[in-house]
Amino acid sequence: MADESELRPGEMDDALAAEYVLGVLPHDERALIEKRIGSDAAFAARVATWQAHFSAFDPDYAEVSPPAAVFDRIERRLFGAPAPARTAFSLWGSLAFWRGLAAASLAASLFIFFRPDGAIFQSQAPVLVAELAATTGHMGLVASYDPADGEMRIVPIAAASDNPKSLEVWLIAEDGRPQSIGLVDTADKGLIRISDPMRQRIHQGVSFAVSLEPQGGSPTGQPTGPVLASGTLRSL
Amino acid sequence: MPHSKTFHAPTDPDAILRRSTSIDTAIMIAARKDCALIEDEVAGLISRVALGDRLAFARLYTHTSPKLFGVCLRILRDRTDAEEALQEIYIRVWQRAKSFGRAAGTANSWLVTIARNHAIDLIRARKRPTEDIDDRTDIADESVPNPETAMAWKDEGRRIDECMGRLPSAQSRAVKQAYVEGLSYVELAELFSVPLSTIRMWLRRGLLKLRECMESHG
Repeated sequence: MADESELRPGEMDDALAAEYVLGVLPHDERALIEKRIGSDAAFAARVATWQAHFSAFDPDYAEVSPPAAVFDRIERRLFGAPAPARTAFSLWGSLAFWRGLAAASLAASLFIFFRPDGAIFQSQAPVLVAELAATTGHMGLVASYDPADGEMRIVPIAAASDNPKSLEVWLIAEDGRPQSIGLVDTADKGLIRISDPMRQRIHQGVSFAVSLEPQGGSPTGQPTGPVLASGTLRSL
Repeated sequence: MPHSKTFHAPTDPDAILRRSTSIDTAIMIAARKDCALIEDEVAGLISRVALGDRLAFARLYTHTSPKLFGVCLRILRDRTDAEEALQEIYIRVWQRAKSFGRAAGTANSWLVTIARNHAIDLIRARKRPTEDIDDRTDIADESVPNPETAMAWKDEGRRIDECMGRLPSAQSRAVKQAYVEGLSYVELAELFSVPLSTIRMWLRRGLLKLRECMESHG
């Protein structure tokens, strides 16, 4: 921009912060600024200051009651609800089903579905389910496992992680020793491919745990970060 | 560690910022007697939402969704889009409630910020055709806030109103309309008949004057 040369660096940042808060910038520039807010505390403070100034205009927004159905949809998306019968297996449909089932234990946050018959497109309900209760916070994860091809899918529901960490899933063997099953890969819809030797060990009664690890997984082969959730696989 | 916002060491710039916003909060509570929920109650609800309290979430929604829906309607100009945006916004509120304690600012402005940012991201990504601009101004002229609400909020905005009053009227109108309606530089250029190449310089000059005025009053 022609005027940038006449602005001092502080002014430049302040103008940018104000422009961001006003919302006048194009999409790509907004995205860059959002990144900067996450990494540059001084800049984030400028944004917060403008936010506080301009919030004086908030009363200009008239209050309009939204239709009641909107909140139903929000709740269904966040917490799930009894899903309508469906012919094909859908993880998200099942999520609603299982969360409905576990309505009494809302704090529970990680479910693992087992389909030992591998008939992922025929069966409506998994035969085995592990419910992993979070020990901290309300991290939300749902996992499905198809023994036929050894694929486990873990999908974060409400995991708001703004720092680069990995979630690592552990199988706790009978001797209490954790063995890594893999990392929760959010980019790949939570797919974890279970190795053949490990598949033999996944059966009713074994426990799972999820720990927070440095990005890329535990450097030691054992959990190094806090255990976020753990639970035992059981028959329904 | 003390967890009240106001007890941080005064040398911490964040603490100073937070302290000044808590003064704003007090003014706003005093000014908004007509509002169903006062600021502290909204803040309390958000803190409970951060702990996963679904009842608090429902109550927060009941009391704050009309305002946030108003934000979506004003910026998106489409009821269906606004309803979808509102869903997304409250999902973010649920997910980000934990970060509320760290955010400088009041509970209501925290919520409006989430709503505005999402609505603006949507329209910027949508790349609205330019012929819509005329419609947007027409609707904007109709949706003048009711005078009683505006009066109730007046104290809270007194300082910025005073500083806005010192700007040339076209500049202050551009600033306010950009904020409230989520107008882009392209739309502002058309609306104020200023070439796109100079609109940014023109608005920035206004913003920096505004900053200078706000700082001298701080």
